[in-house]
Amino acid sequence: MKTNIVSTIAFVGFVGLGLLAATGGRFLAEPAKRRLTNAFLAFALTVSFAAGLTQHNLWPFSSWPVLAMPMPAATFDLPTPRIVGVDANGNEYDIDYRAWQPLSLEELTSWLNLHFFHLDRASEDRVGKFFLDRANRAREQALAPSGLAYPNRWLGPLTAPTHILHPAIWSRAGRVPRNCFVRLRIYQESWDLEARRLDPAKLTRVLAYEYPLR
Amino acid sequence: MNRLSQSRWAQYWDTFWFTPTSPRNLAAARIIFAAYSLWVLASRQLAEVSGLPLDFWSRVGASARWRYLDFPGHLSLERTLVWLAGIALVCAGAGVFPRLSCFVSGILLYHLAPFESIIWIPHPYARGLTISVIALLTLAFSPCGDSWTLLPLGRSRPSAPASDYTWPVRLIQVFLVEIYLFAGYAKIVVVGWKWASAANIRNWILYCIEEDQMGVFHSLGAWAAARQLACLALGVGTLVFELGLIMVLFSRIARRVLVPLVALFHLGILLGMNLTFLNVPQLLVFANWDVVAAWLKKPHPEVSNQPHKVEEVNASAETAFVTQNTLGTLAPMR
Repeated sequence: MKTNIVSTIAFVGFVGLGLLAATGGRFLAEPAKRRLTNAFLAFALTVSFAAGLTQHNLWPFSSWPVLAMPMPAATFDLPTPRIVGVDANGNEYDIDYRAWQPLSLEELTSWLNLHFFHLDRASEDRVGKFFLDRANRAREQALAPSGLAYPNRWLGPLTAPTHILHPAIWSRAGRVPRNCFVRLRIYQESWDLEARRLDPAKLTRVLAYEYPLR
Repeated sequence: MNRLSQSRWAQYWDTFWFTPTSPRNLAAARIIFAAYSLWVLASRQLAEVSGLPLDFWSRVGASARWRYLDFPGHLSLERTLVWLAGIALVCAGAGVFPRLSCFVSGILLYHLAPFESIIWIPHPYARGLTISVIALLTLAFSPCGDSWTLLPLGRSRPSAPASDYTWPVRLIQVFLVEIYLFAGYAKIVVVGWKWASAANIRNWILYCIEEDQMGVFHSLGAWAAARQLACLALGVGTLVFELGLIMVLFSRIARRVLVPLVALFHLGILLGMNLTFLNVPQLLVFANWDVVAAWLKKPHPEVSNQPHKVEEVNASAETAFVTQNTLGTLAPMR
């Protein structure tokens, strides 16, 4: 909460001083105008460096902690969620990342890890139904001649990618499940990096959620 | 002159921010950021996040919602705002009411960009629009419409060099360099120098290529992960590069060498780790658009008849000029 308040003050200050420098400068002599511009620049530098040096993210003045964590040799402490669709025959299928629009897969998996499993069962099931509907709708679109759309249909594959790249597994109709999904499961996957390097199938998979519950 | 302006630091400050330059680099920054931001905005469905079921929003704090005025259940309003932001960005790029357009688009992107991640984190850095917000607002506070506009401002020629054209470009360049400076700093503060160790880099690469939901490219990462020396070189090189990139603000040689390397750096990360960094096109604000404009004009005989000066904006302390002589060659003048 404190970060939100400080960030808001910083942003309002940035805009306010900028407006003052831009508009006030028109009515002032050159030295006074320069002082206003200097004040704006000093404020922008102070806020942006404060965010970076304290590592408090005051977005849009970011602290940019890109990959700023050690990567352990195994991911057991931070498992990766995987949502799969299940057809009437019990077969499981991966779901194309574009099915979850407007959410990108990385935002969705982060939300799953952080919040989803703390919701009550009724909330979880509302979200589960939402996921199942989205997955089936995306599957039908992928089977249609026009294919599964990118977030912007005009940009198509030129759509700006998300921070993490994801394979478009339903780009070819042959890889799209033919049968409707009747069930949805969320697994938590973790693995030892070296073991999986030698054998890609070597991972631990735990069923964390299923909709509808059997 | 007051005491501060007589001091050495004040001289450095003035030289860095206020060396008079032509308006072209500022206009180029406006066009670059407008086009780039429009691309990212059109590539996302930010408004639709407002229409997600309320359960997605249940853990979003009140302070985060009010900070950006981002609330669930306003799908139509948000769609309208996305269109408004898009129109403002088109106007900003074309130079139609450029300052107002930059201001409107900057404010609207401040409101819209957090939708991308707000359900779990209220600061959407590294998603493409962070620098756009502060850059567009900086442009709005400056005379960014004095050149390269669709609607002329009653001037047939670009304005004379002025200090007002320099500081906004410089500030945007600082914002861009801060990305790398703080990314390197954060790695050292959070993890320490061992972040650059071969084992850590190898683990990062392996994670990024083994996680099949994010695996598009595999070969380069697998090649690097199999070589300890390559991993160590990548780790050390990344820290040195990120912390050293600040040199591009002060040295023309560093700018010419390191800025293109940034693009290569991100290409390597993309192919080796499947991580994209959308801001790469924004690095075009480090280009010298006076030289580009002069180069583009070179074939026209009517231009080459009249020698004229075009200022090199990115020369920091030194004011470098290039003259296009009658033979159409570029010669540096000091």
